[in-house]
Amino acid sequence: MRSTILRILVLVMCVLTVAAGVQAAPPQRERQVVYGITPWTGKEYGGTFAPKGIDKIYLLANSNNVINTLETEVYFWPITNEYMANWFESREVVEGRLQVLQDGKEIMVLERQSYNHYYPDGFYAGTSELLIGEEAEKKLQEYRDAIEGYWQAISDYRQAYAEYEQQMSEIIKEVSETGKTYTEDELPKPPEQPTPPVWYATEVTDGFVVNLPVGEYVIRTIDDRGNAIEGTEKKLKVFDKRRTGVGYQIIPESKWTRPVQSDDATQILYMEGSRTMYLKAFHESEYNQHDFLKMTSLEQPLAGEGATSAYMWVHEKEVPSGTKIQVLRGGEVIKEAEYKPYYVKQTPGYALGYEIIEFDPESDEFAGRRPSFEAVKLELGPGSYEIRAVDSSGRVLEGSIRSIRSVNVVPMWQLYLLSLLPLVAGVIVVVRRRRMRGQTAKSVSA
Amino acid sequence: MIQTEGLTKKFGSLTAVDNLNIHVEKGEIYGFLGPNGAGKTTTIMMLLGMERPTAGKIKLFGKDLAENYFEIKRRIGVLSEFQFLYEDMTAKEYLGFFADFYEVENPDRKIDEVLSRVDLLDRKNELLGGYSKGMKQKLGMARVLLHDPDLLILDEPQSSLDPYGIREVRDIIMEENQKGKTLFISSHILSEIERTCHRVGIISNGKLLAEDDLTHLKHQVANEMEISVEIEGYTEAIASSLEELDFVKSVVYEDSRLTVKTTMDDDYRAQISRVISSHGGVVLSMVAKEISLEEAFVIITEQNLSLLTKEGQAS
Amino acid sequence: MSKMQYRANAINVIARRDIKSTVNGLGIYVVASLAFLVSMLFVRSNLKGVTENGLMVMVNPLNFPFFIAVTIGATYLALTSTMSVSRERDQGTLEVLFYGPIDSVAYVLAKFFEQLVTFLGLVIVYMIVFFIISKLTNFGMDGSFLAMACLSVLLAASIVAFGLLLSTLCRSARTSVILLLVLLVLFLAADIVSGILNSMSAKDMSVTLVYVRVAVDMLNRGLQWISPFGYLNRGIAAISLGSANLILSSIGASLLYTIVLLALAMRFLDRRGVRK
Ligand SMILES: Nc1ncnc2c1ncn2[C@@H]1O[C@H](COP(=O)(O)OP(=O)(O)O)[C@@H](O)[C@H]1O
Ligand SMILES: [Mg+2]
Repeated sequence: MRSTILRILVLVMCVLTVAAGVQAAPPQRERQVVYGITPWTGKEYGGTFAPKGIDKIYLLANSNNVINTLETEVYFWPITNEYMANWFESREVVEGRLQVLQDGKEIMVLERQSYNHYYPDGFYAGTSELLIGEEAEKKLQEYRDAIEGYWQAISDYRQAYAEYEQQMSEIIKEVSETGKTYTEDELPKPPEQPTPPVWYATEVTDGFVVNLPVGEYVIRTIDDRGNAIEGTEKKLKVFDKRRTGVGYQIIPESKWTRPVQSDDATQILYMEGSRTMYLKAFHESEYNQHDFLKMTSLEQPLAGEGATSAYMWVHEKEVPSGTKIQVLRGGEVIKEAEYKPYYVKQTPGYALGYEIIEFDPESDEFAGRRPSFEAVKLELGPGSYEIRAVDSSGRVLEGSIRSIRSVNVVPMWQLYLLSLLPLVAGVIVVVRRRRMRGQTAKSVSA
Repeated sequence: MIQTEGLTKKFGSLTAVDNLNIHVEKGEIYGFLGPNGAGKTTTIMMLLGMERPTAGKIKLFGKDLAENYFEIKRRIGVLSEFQFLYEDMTAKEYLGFFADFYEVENPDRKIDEVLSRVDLLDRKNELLGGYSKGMKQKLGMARVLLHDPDLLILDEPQSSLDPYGIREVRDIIMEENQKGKTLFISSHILSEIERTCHRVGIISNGKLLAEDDLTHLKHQVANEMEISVEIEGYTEAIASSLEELDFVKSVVYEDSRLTVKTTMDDDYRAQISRVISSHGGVVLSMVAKEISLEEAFVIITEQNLSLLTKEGQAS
Repeated sequence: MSKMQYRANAINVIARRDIKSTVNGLGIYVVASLAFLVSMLFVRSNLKGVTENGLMVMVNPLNFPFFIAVTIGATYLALTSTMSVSRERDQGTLEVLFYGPIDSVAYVLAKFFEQLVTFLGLVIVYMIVFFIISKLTNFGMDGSFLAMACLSVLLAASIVAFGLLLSTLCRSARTSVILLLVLLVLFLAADIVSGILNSMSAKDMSVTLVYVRVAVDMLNRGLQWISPFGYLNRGIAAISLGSANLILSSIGASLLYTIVLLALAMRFLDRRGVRK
């Protein structure tokens, strides 16, 4: 029996050694056919790719995603545990069409389409949109025009400014020579500096725009004759959010740089005593953690592993500014507060402190300054509360209810005392049982 | 009540019970006699289904145990050789537990009754951890009586009792038998078996040497009678003429005492006396020594094995 | 009366006796207090977290301390289950029971229910105390707490079955407890070692270490299906993930495990016999 186990163990070790040896081989660069993937993540577009070693792609349902069959040089980078593609030196489009199959049957064949990304709030902020075909061309043209217009405005500005300086120097000269005085209104106004367009549109390229309902699919790239190109067959999982809700970012007045986050109703906000806090609410969606991480970081083989049953909330966009936050106690609304801009003002002096004050754009105090953040301010005393977000028409936003509780700082000795109660009960029981033996001794001696 | 057929139990190379055929009738007290290590406890455990026989068949109440396991178990009361009690319980709790276990009706009354039968009623609220060995043995007896079993199997019931306790148990055995119960009592103490049992089975080294009622058994074992004669005026002629008689088996003279062994078929004292007188001897006293079961036991298990087993099987 | 009725009576009577004996002993009280004392350390650290940060978001701050208390209770349960059959055989009381109307099925089930009911009682006490704590601290508790309590009793079943199996396997209470300790240490060691190895990044690893990691990981995964604590952990994880599917499958898996182990325990008891 024992020797059998030993033999099996030895065998397993041998197999593992071989497997490990293969794994530990140095990274090799290899030209391969891959899928470049631009997935919609609910908030913006991401970027990842599926090399030869990864056979399943993940996308969100009912949204435009782009995938592209490309040939490039791929290697595995063990330090960060991810595949890397040498896009700059080698990137070749693999011609063909994308065939989508479900349960072994073809359900659609996609041609490449031209597309670009449009960032209404700029490349580094907010969300992005995918524009397809003519729309993409049009938006790109608009962007180019806008940039053109901006450069034009800049050169106009320079000219106007030069003229303005000219006028001013003449006035200064006149003043110093004649002593003539000017009222402010009589002085020439400096020209306004043009601002560059905030929005941005990328160059137009092409790829397969995939928009599918939830399901398990197989994709492959086929050539003119309908034959699958080698190495292009991959599984595709299209998944959707499980729930939507409202998430909060809570900025404590005492540590404004360390906001805490509450994504769903189970995440209760605890506070000590009376507290002032600033809340920001977000629309959010809950996704399967494994699928979501695979979707955004497919090139990292370890991403999402072991999280097939876990779910994660993804903050998508902030609620509209008309949203209000209501505070409830015992089911009654006791307070309602709205979004306002706030400014964090450093307090001069010995202690390096700060003060959060409401930002008033009209006031001179804030001239030339911008608000530090916009949020809903809540001041709560000790107790248990609920909060919820309501939109401008007073409807409660789904999934926006949260508990806020102030903890009582119970002295630990009370808790320890409570812990010892069972022991006390046990000692009483045992002593009472022992007495029965005690009676024996007495009755025997009597 | 109990019937075994070719019952055998081997522990490795040791045959603890060897082809045992015993037969216990309803209403009798059966003594299961044998020295320590003979296989008595092993046999009992096989009867109860707690040791798996290597071979053989068992019938209890005329049925297979496996067939009617729970019903049969409920009709049996077993007192083990050693008492193992829940020491953290009082006597009353302990018996209450077994009363529930055997689903005894009116448990409280019954508990008091059996406790008073073993003379422990006044200690019923004491923890068993404080009980003496003898008290434990008696409490075990109380447990056996609790559910009024039809068959009582007692393994060495008097082993750790004082004479008074032995007496109590003996009384209980007799009472139960009078109520029509069957008792199967294993023991190596012959005197007790002799006093209470109707029939005995004698086991040694796992083999049943004899099974019979007591008087028969004694006769069977003692197939000779020893007559001791105190004599005056002994001569060789007395011995030789005695030896000539058919019923005389041997004659030994020693210290003015003549020991004559005769067959058991009759009382030959008168004839012996006549022969002695005819040769001028004077009989001062003459005692016929009947064999006790104790001796029979020793004889059976140690000396006359072959003889007895043949006869035992023949009868 | 049918076989089942006889068994039901035996199970009921024996389990009740054993429960009384547990209640009359000191062990269970010591364990309850110990469990509370240890879990209070976690309650304390949560309280401290709030007071130090002023504001803190937590998911059911009492669930983890409760889980700790449950684990301590379950470990005690594993120990008492492991000792239950072997100790009774040691003491000879098992033999006396088997003179009467009982078989190995009824006996093993009696021990099983006894342990389970004891644990249920312990969990009820836990719940009362944690309810008081939740009121004292205003931490509050929600449905997941109740779910965890209920599930822990179900999952405790696999721990009891495991203990009973060890108990029927061994001749003496001492060997069975030693066996339990050895196995627990093995389970724990595999878990800890594989945890450490998995947390190391692959780039600092030699080839041998990589293969050791794979081996230990495989071993650990296998052991997590043998160890009853694996079932408890998966169940509790399922609750904290809030996945109904996982909760159901973990209940199913641990029920299956329990049934298989109990059946094995009955067979072992039959084969080993009830005598000393
Ligand atoms: N479980 C066992 N394993 C091995 N040998 C045993 C076992 N039980 C009993 N024996 C042996 O079987 C023989 C009969 O034992 P037992 O039935 O207890 O005798 P008795 O009860 O007549 O004194 C003894 O030699 C004993 O050592
Ligand atoms: Mg014996």
